[in-house]
Amino acid sequence: MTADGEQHPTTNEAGAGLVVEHITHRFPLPGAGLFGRHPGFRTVLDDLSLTVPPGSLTAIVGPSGCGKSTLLKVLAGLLIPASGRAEVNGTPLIGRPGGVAYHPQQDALLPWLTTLDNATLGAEIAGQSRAEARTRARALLDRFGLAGTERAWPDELSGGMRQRVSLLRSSLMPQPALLLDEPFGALDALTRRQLQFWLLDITAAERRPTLLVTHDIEEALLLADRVIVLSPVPAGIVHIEDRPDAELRREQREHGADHPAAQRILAALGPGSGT
Amino acid sequence: MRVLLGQILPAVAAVLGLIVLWGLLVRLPGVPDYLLPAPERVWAVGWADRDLIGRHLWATVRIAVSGFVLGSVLGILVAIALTLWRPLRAATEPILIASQAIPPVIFAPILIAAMGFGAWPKILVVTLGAFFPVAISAGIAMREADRTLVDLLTSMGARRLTVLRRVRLPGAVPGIVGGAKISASYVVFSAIIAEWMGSSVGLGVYLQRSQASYRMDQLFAAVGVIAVLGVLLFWASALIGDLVLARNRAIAAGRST
Ligand SMILES: Nc1ncnc2c1ncn2[C@@H]1O[C@H](COP(=O)(O)OP(=O)(O)OP(=O)(O)O)[C@@H](O)[C@H]1O
Ligand SMILES: [Mg+2]
Repeated sequence: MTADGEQHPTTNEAGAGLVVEHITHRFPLPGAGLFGRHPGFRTVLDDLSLTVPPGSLTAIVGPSGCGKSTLLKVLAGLLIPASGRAEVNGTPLIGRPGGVAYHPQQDALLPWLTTLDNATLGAEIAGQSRAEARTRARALLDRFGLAGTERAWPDELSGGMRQRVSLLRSSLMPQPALLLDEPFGALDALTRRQLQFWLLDITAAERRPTLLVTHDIEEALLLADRVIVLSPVPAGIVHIEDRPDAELRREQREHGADHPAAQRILAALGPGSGT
Repeated sequence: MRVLLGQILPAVAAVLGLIVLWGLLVRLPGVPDYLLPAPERVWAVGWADRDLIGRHLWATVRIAVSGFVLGSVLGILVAIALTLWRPLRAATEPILIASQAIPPVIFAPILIAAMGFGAWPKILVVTLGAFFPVAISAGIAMREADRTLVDLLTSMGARRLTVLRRVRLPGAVPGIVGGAKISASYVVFSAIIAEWMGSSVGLGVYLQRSQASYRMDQLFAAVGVIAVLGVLLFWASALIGDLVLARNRAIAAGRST
């Protein structure tokens, strides 16, 4: 059932893909800095290392509040970790925003832009022409269930629609790696399934290393070449589940044959874990 | 129609009530006519003097509106500059605040002495008073912009200027409109002070002459005109502000690049 390392595409030259090494991050405790005194820090990420090869998807699961979003913010250049390195295809990421296509947990849409303009925002800021980005966005509107909403304002969309606009925006960004923080959380089962298969397709086609944070173990088992289980805060890796290739994963899902893997992940998450 | 019933009617009723009260007050024994003229006499004097008052009014309107527009634009530019360059903000904020503590009666004569009796020194006095509320409220709105949106743009690799243009500025429109409304309620006051300090035309000049010749009826007529002008300018700015807010999203969406 469990695949070993050979079955996902690791045949890459050194440095290719997303490489994360020994990331440790601390947040100041509340009240820190008041009157110049520091009551201390709380370690949220504890010496995390992982590698996502090109064309491969790694899913991260872990209890709520363990530091999954924090890891993605570090890789997106929004938080500077206490220590550690990260790079994509050899380009450093730490403290350098703009290096990855990042989908934040909250679907942050600009209220003054329409669906189409929100969807093309990331591509435009990365320097792509607006016309080209619009063409690519229009081609995907149907698949994202957003047909007919291209001129709608964000406050006219449902929560699930907003999330899909946000996902469309991240996927249109040209950066060499894709970081998705719970991109399917607010979706109905059907749309979710559709977009999960879409994600499988583009990961294979675009060959971008993809990091997916999710609370849904079935989703992780279907989409990921590797599932990483994190401990409660401070997050450290407690289990790595390597998965067979996408074709086999789909089959397993149809026959409910990924149960043992799910059991191992649940066991790693520990009793009473909220995931 | 609803605006008329809901907003204008109660206001007109309240003003009429005040005028009636004033009319009753002057009829009390011991209230001398040369201190507090009766409302009907103020009206009669004002109506007889309407050509002259109209000319002065027009001069004041020009100065107040020009100063308001210039001040609002200046306020937005100052807010942008102070948002982009934090050291500049630390360095200049006390100076900006101090500029508001100095009453226009002190620097108006200096400006007039330096720039002559034309409209410009007076417009400048109004501008200096009008830019401040806009600069402060626009600046706060830009600096306190939605954190998740700023982070989003940052994660996309946007430069500070892009974050300003795509997030901070469009998000600050309600703040700018609010600041401009406050400014609008000050501009008539500033314009009158500037004219009073040295001018050949304007309601401030008319006021000053009426006072110098102890013509309380003329003075009150001018005060009435000033009050109405102040309210009309405020309403106009509020109306424009509402239109801007309603079109805020559309403008941002229709922008080029
Ligand atoms: N800006 C911050 N300042 C201080 N502490 C923070 C900050 N952001 C997050 N934390 C703390 O860091 C920990 C990890 O937060 P994070 O958002 O990464 O969790 P998560 O794993 O994404 O959780 P969830 O699954 O609920 O989204 C939490 O305990 C949170 O309280
Ligand atoms: Mg999270």
